[in-house]
Amino acid sequence: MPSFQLQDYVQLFVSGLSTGAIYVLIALGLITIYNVTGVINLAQGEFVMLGAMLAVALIRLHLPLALSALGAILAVALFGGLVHRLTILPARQAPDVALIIITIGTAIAIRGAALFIWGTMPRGLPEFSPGAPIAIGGAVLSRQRLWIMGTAAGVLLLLYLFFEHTLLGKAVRACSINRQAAELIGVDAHTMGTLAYVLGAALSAIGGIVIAPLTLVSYDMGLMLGLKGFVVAIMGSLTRAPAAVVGGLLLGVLEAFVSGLWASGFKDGIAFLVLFALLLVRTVPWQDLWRRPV
Amino acid sequence: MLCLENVTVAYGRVRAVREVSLAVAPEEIVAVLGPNGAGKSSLLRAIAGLHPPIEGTILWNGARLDGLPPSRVAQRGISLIPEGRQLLGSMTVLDNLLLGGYLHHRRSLRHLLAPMGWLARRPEVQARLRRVFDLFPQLEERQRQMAGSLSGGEQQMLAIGRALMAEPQLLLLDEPSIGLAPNLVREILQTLRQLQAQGVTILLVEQDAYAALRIAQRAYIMETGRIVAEGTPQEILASPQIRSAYLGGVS
Repeated sequence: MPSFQLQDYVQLFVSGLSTGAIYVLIALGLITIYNVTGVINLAQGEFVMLGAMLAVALIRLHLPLALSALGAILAVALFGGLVHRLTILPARQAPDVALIIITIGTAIAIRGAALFIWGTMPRGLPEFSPGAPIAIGGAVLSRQRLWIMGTAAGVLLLLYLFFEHTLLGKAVRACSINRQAAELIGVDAHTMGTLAYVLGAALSAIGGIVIAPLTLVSYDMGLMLGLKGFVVAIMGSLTRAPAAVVGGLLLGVLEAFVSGLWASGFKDGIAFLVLFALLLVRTVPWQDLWRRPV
Repeated sequence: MLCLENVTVAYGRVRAVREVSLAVAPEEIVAVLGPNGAGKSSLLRAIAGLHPPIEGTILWNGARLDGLPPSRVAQRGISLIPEGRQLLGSMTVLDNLLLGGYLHHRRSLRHLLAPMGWLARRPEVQARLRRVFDLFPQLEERQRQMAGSLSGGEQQMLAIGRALMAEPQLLLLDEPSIGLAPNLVREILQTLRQLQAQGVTILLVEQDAYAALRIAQRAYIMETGRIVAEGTPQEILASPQIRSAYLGGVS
């Protein structure tokens, strides 16, 4: 067993935070979509993959990185709006379970199309600013991890300003607080639903693009990232964004410690362990367990 | 001019409103009275687009309203203040009011995405807020408070104020007196008179018939989904049969 020093823990902690930031972005997309449309979008991870894939495709057309990233985000955002219009709105009268299954179908279709178009070979996205890692407080961080955290922080700030300080953001929130009241003041709930999908897809795409230089891009990368985003969203009961931010960062850090101190093979299991524990805590009637059977 | 012809509203197999025809002239206050479950609220919900009628037509200034979603009905200048007020309780009073004016801003991306403080300081928004605050001074004092923390009367004022921010031509009110003390009911009904003087047409559904008859020019009485009587407040109050059968008999 190797001995660990303080700086190793700092290292794991900070790189865990940056992974967690990605989960937070994905989870916030899920939460936005769920609150406005009532749909648990299990195709969220596919938006992540599409963002990364499209950025790679645009870079191969010799576009500059910034333009490729922006183009990919916009394209995925538009695609998200289309997904809402074409797969959710026509089925809006259907029961929740049917809607969830529709999103699973969408996810499988997107993944299949990506496999068909881009094949199984993983692709790479260059780092945003290549160069030697940067030492911060004993930890050595790749520049890309700083990009991830900076981007996530910026996006969080923009989201906050949008939802708290603009009329459109408040109108979107009004739809989730009281849909009928929102409709009565002239807010079209379908348009807001599409907007939520656009936002949710863009958030995921951003996450996919900033993490791509570290992980490689493959057609099936969305599966695991989407599931982790879902677990984090559940930590916020699918409604509370601040809880999801904390939960996402925690999950990232926990994963980093498990893979760093123990074995990296267990890393992906953590999310499911957390999900399992959450569902158990939330659904088992604990107080009844202590009562005498009647 | 609002015109309903043979409107029937159904919830499943239950017909809440049966072949109702009624008209509201510009700048008139019309009351729809009747006992609980008579179909009054269903009628308003049908006009507002929340629950479209299965039969009949709803005309507003000559154009069909039935079949339009509620947001479209609102865009035509009609505001429903629903039963239970439906405020955004976790937002401030000011936010509720500014959202009430959403219709005026929805076509301008600049208005939609600008900081709300800037929006609130625009002269036309200030004028709309002024109008609401002149009617309900309490709301001005409490504009930074959460809507959910207001008293029942203040919430009703906010519900009316929010609707007014859209500058509607027609105001639909569903039981504005419910849960309020008698003096508050009088105050709110008097406000409706003031709005009428400003050119707003009002269709009011009330269980408190005597309060509503004090401000209405005409009234319809509904029972089990049908209109069973109609007339001016004097005519209705002068008819002992109507009073004993539908208005509880006491005055």
